[in-house]
Amino acid sequence: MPEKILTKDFDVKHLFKIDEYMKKGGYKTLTRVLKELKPEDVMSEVKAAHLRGRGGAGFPAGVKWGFVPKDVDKPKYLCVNADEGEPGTFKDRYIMTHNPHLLLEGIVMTCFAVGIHTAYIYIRGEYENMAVRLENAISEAEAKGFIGKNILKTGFDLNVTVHRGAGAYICGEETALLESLEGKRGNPRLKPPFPAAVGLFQNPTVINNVETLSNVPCIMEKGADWFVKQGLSEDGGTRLFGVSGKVKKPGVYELPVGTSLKELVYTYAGGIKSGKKLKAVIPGGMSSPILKPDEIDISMDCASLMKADSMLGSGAVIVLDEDVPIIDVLRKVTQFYSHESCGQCTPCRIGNSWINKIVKRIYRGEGKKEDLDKIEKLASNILGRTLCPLGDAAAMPILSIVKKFRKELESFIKG
Amino acid sequence: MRVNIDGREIETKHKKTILELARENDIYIPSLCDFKGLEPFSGCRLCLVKVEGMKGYVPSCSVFVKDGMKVKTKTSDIQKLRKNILELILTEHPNACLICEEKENCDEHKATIRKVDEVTGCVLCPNNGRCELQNVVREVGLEKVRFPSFYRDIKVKKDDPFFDRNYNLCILCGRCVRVCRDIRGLSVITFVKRGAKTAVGTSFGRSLLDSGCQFCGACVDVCPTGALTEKAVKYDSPPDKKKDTVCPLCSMGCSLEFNFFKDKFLGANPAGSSPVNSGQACVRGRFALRDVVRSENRIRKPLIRKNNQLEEATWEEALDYASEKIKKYKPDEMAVVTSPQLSCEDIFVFNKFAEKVLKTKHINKKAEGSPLSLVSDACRKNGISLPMQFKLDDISELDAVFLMGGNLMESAPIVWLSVLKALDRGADLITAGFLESPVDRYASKKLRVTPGMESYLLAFLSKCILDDCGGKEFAAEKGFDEFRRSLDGIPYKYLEESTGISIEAVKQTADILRKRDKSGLIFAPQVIGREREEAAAEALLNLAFLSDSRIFPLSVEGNHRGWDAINKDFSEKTKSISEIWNSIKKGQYKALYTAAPLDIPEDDGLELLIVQDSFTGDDLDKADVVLPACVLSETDGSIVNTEGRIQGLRGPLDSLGDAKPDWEIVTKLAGRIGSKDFGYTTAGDIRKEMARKLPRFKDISQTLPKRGKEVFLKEDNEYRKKYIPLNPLNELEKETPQYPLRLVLEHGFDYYRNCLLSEEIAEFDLFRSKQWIKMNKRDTQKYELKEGFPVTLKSKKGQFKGFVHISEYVPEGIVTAYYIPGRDENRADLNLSPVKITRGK
Repeated sequence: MPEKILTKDFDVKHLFKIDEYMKKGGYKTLTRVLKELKPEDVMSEVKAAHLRGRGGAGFPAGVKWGFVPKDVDKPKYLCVNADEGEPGTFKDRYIMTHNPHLLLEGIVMTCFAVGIHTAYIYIRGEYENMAVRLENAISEAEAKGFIGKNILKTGFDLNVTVHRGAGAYICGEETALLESLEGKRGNPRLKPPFPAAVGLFQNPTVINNVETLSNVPCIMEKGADWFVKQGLSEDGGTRLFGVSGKVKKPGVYELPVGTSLKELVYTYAGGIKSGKKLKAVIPGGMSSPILKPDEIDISMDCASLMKADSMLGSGAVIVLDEDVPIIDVLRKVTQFYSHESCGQCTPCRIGNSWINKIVKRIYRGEGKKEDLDKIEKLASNILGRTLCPLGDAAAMPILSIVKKFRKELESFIKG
Repeated sequence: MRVNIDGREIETKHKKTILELARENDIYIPSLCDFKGLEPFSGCRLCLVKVEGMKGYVPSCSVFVKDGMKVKTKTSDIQKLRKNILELILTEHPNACLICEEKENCDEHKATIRKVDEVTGCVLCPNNGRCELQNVVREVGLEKVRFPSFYRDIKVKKDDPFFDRNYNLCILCGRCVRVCRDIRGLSVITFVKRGAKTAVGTSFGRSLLDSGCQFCGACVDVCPTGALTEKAVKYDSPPDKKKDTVCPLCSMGCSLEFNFFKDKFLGANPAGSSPVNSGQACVRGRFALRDVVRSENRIRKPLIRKNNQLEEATWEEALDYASEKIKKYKPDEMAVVTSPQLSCEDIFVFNKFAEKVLKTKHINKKAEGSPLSLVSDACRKNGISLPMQFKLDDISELDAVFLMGGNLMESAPIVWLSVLKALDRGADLITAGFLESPVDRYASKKLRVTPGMESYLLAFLSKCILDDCGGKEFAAEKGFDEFRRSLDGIPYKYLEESTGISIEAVKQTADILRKRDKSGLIFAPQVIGREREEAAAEALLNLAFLSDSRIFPLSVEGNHRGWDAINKDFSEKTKSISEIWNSIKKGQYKALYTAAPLDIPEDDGLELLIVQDSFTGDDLDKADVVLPACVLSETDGSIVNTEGRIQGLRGPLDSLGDAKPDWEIVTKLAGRIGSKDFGYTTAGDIRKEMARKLPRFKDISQTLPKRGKEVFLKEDNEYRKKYIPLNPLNELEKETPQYPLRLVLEHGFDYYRNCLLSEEIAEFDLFRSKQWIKMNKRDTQKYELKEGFPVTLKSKKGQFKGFVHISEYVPEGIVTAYYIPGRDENRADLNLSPVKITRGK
């Protein structure tokens, strides 16, 4: 097993309590960062670490922070995206359950680097246990002086608040998240302006994923060079891969960025259950295009998967074996997106609804010959033609499934 | 900037979107969600275009042009894309007629078929012929929809006043949602649900009446389909003619378009390009005006009382009768009542008539509860001069707004839109008044003052400013020492107790007003009794000087500012309508000539009552002669709006029956009595004389200003300050166990001469009734009352009746009732007094 960074102490009992966390060296780095370093030092260290966003889009975190204007008298905000809604993804929950303080330490460092004094953790409503755990962790950290006014007597203030979402997938999209956090309906915003300039309550805002921020303490502890070396490709660090589906050992695996997907499925996750054959792998959450068995000898980093017309996304690997009818997969995918579209853009709202209707028709055995072409047409009419990435997220897996499993799908259509 | 669209080089200076630039240059890009003045939504995706160097297709409605940009709008890819998207939209919208081959021939034969009210195709749709979706289908050239049509079968919502909502026709362009949220600041409607079930609706699906809708009609005006339709005209044809005019129903003077089909008057729409209301209106202009001007209660013929009965007469008879009688009285026995709802020409002629013909000084020139009259009177009395005219843009540029008085959404909805613009830019809003109001949700500070103690609150603010800054900088200014001494004499504790507001809140407000660069004090109409109103106006002036704030005294009725200006130019002596009314009550007059709605007291001692009005009202019961006047929309007079802008009405309607413009009636009457100074044959003749005689009307001419050309009243440019010492107020009578509630009268705005909107229009009564006695829910429980119960309010001074209306905006212990100066003069005395409420008629 390669070295773990984030999850190295996760087997310690009660790690979520601040005493245990501190026994393992927690908040030591924070003390050093706040007392000895300047904000610019933190930012340049994270930039040098090539820390890519772990939420889905994979945007370099340090660069994102750098977009926030420096000399404005407006308040700035950090929004932690803990609305882990991408089907198949359960890595952030793992962090928040076992080690909420790691996230909090990352949050404080990030806010210090960017000059932020208010942070919101936007957590999906279903994660009630994690939300409570985070709230407890915040109170503990406040009591010890790691969060709140005049942190560690350095004069740096930070207020952290947990905000529960109400169960809409779209609120994981960063601008919809902002709308929801402002108390409005979670519809995405037009970009530009980007949140770094005009975000929460019209003020400069950084939005990062839970896992992304949890990496910051490690980078600050051991340095960017060390962090980069942990990855097998040019991106730094490790990633939490959540493997689910028909494997022997499903679960969260922390592995270097760039680990081979084949290795992940066969070595770490123990291969396919009950000796069945592999049918396909969805490599990065449900919105990433599906890979066939001959395509999985691939390095799990953003660039490589992009080359294979798929994406690393949230690193949620869903493994399908030969027993899974592909129409089932397609039905689940289309149902999900047709339900979760916010309704703003015509192609996404009506297109997904029609695709779902057609897929259901095929599923019921009432499919027509031209249906697959229709689905493809509708999906490509969504791809790249909507305001936010939800449209693409829906169209990409549908197109790839229809393309790669056309024969099988046709077999469901009689006549 | 040079932009290339479809190979055409276009030069442009200002920042605009690709779609805007294309439209300006007659390059067609289809769009359904974009609407001028609304934030881009980019939802329909019909306006996607290709821009060189940008990934994929970009929505032209939200991408701004840049120098050197190359845009393609008509490639075959884009055409196909548009067809695909439009096809999707149509699967959710009844589309049979849209793509029918026979559609050209169909219209002719099925012109009335839409009255069946179940819309399954264009010929059945109230929006047929004015539908943007129809246009887009035609332009894009869609001939076939490859998906089965999906009828959502949503029940049409018809329970609300004025317009119906048929969401089966909705294409979710979001214009209504955006106009309600961004322009009107209400967010009554929003998107609900998600995915294919996304719809527009209210919170929890309640009615619009229950959701705080103000029925401004903005959503109806922006709806591209037949989803939102005005009930009154939904079965009519689209208009074939439009005429410009100005709304006479409030002091804003919104530009309206009157719509006609084959000369039948259909209704009014706000005009898009107006500098006053830029495409917006309110319930009065948008929905009520239509019913008001063509009311069944219009007086069509002159009437003369014979055998104790009013009988129809000719103009000759009526004028002869009136003039013969008038000749009998001495000047001091006669009074004239004019109304700020008359045109400038009318008011001028009335004043001249009173001065030259009747030679009486008894003419009303002050308006009750009108901030404009109060502030201008206070200025005149104290030798103060400061700019009181303004442009709405001045309000939207403020960075702190102190709003004193009632609910601006009701009293001056268009002014409120300017305040919203200021708030959008980051201004702070402070509201001060005795009631809660829907605008409070935008306020960063709410000062809930004890009714009647407004002037003390303003003095409180002044005192805080002075104590904070020391006051040295003002020491040399006129009247300052005396003013300061009057403030020093009142301890903070007393101010806190009498106003009910803590010193912290007042200090914070004072701080905001003083430290912001552009702070403004908006003085909205409210009725707190003559002396208290005057004291408040004076205290407001002091505060304006100390905080270096601009003062915006609003006017109330349609031509309030014009009325005020003309009256003051005639004579300095001022009388208010309530003073005249009290004199009538005392039996001081033998003859009364009224052109305003007036409550005629019992045992008045009047021998002659001439009523000149457009509508029948209670004052007809005692009238000896009734002279039918035109409504303003039937005249070509001019009115001055709350900004000071002079606007022409340009009579879009023909006069009804034998009604004549007010000025013409007075002119004829003057002629009969023997005066030779009234040789006017057109309103233009009067304007010519006004421009010569009245310094403030110097800029008007015989012909009316065209829309777009701005003509304002002339204002004294001198800036003369003077502080006015605080006037101590009389203690209010305390509530007792027998009279436990305090009555506060609310200024009524929903009337035009003798026509009460809530009496004239049943739907209006649901929304804002004159009969309402508003009270807090807890009070209704305490006195075992329910919504709609008939009740009597009784004080030591009198009583009146009404119906209970539960309002979240009325604090406990207070009841409010409607009051129109003149018309409801009999309840004026009860204002601010303790009352008891009893059930029963």
